[in-house]
Amino acid sequence: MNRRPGVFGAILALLVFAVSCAAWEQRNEVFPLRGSYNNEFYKRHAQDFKLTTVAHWAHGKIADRLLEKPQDPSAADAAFYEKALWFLNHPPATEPHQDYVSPRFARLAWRAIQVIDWTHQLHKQLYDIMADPDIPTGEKKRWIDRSVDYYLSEPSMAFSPAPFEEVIMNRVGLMNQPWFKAYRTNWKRSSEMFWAFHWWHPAVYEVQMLFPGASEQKQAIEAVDDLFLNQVLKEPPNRMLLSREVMPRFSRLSPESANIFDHLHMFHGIIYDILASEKVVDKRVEIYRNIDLMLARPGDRRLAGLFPTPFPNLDPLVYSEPLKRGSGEMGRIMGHEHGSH
Amino acid sequence: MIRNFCTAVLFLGLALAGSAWAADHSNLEEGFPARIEDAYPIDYRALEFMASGIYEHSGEHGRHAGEFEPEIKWGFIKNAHVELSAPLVFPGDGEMKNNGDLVLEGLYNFNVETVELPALAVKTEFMFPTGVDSAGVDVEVTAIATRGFGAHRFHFNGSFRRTGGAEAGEREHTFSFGLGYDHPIDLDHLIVADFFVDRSPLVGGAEEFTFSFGMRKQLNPWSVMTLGMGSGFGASHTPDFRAKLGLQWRF
Repeated sequence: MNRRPGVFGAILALLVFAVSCAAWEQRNEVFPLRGSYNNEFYKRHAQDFKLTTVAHWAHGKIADRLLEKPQDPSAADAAFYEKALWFLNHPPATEPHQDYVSPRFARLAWRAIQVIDWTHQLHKQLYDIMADPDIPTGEKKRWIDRSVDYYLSEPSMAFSPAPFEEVIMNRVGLMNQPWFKAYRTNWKRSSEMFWAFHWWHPAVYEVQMLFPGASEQKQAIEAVDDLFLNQVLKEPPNRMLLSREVMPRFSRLSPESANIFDHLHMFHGIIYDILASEKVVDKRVEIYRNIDLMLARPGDRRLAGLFPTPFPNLDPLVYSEPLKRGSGEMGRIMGHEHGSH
Repeated sequence: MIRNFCTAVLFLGLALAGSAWAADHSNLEEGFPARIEDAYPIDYRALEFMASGIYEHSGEHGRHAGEFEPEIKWGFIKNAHVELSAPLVFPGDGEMKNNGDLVLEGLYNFNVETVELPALAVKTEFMFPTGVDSAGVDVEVTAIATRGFGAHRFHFNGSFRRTGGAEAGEREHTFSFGLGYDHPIDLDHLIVADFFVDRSPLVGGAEEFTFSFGMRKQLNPWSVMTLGMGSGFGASHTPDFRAKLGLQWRF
């Protein structure tokens, strides 16, 4: 008899709760695309997989470190670099999600974690396809395009397949942002380490293109890892290299993914700049604003291939001088004779 | 029939283990190895096969018991999953009641954790009387909250349970509350611990207090191994030692 008001109250409370929840941010995680090639890279190139995990750990961890606002950024930078070197010598067996290594940052800006993890899964898909000897060379592009289609089917977390020039320069307006270069100013060593990582990932794609056979690919990837640890990391590039510079052949095979990976690499830098900048008050709003500018838009795919490949015959097993020094593509795009971003 | 179901599920899981991808040792699942669950479902479109084995010893009765539980989970929409399981109990005292009941549950996550808000979820579970001497459908609703401070994460589970076909001397309504904690050891390992209070299902029975702790290890990108142990006090049937081994494959 007296239960009716209670029932109505409960229903009303549930409705209010449901409506208020609609405004909340949700996790929205999506499982990667299934294919016969899943985990081929992990099974065939375990050592490189583990080292890649360290690169992704570093990219996540530095965000939490920046949120801690260390009093001496240069000392924190040096300590972080040493920790990353230690990890490269003691890599973990598997790769956790970004929110596992950067929980503070995940609470601040979940969408950033989401687009990073979603792009990492595309990266893993393509590594797996290129590592799978059961997919003939002539069939690789069809499978890669299938993965890119799946990636772009989630428009709320897929970076644009349009080139760097359009997305980073025209839409984001990178050089006009008040936070531009805020991170690099005090975090030089880790900045350069990330530029070395951004040589490494595309170099692996390029040797996968050149060495499709299982055993020759394994040897070539081991050679890339040696080159990374013994040369590139010790003498990192003086700028962020673009995919088209380090993996010209793969960039022509899949220009969409080449651009998407450039955006991911630049997005890391944008996050770090925003977190390091004292000029940005609401970091979450600014990061989300930039995500919105960088997401795929209708028609972007038609722009994908509109970029030059300055070194079309590059040998990825040689860390050549134009990759170490000079202005490169980044400098050309920014209008610098000696660009260094 | 239940044995066939379990065999089929186990076979499916093992057969697909090699093609699976992206398990997540930081996503706490009830019973793997602790009882506490976090507020997050598995990914949309993911399938996960889980199996666990439990050993239990009750000092008061000198009883040794075991349990094997296969489960299959599906992320059927974003931020939610459904799960089907069939616990098989091997009681030392020959009591087989409810053995083989089918359990269907669904979890929905309302929000991701932010600086201001914990992650919140609700889980609803139906236990169907498909097992030995079982009667009535049991329904349990659980509110789940997850809140982190740095890398330390804390969890709350509060459940209300209605027992269908309660017999004389059994309570129709019971509840439980649990608090849990997890923390990464490194990138591949996570420790987890919890403490639960359960209202006795028997009229006039004493509350049950249990605690457990353990570790979740990411074995490879598609599977997680869990290992834990625990104990309890209060009600006479509370085990004084419990050990649990579990495996999860996502595919």
